[in-house]
Amino acid sequence: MDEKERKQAIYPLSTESLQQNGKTVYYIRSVTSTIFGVSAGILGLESYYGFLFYFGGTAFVSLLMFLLLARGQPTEYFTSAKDIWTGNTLAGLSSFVLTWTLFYGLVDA
Amino acid sequence: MSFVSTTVTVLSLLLLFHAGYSAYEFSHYLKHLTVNSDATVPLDIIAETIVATALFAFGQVLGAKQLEPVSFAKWAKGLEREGKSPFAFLERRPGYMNVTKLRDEYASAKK
Repeated sequence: MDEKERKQAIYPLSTESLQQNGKTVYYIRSVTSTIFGVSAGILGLESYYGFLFYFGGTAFVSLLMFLLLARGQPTEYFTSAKDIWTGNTLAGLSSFVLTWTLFYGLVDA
Repeated sequence: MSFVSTTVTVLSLLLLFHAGYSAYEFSHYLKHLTVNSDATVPLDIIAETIVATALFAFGQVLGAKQLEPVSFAKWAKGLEREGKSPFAFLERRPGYMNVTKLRDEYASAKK
């Protein structure tokens, strides 16, 4: 039994809250990335700039979640602190591209 | 979702719609009323879009479900306060409880 296993045996984790928190993060990522796509389309971003916008927006959402949802203590709510920064970051990429291209075309009169 | 987060979200969507319509009109004028048509989106539309996006993200994070503590002890403590213990099925079996035996066990464990 290594150090990590022993720690988990003494302080067990709740799988239910892990799932619940994962779902909450996934929901926020999906909804915000759709709106990021709308904005990127309105701004008329092209090629790499659109993806940069996506990753910038995702980082901003991570910061908001870190401050407002986890109140600066991500280890309380996730197995590791980096989960809130990197978890599900690519989940919304396809919906981002969808709305990005849609609104890019819509805004162009 | 709380009142504040709903208000912020609705406001941000209105701003975003306005920015989108403005961008559409701008591109319309550019194509039909000017000769020089390689201008980019004006700064006020860019600012409005970015503010709307940031507000939307803020509203969504504010209105999201509260995260639950990942430590089993803390999570169970929170549930117990609401009267929903995860061990309720173990705790509420008075018919199976042998009080005399439990007392004997307690007494022998103390020695």
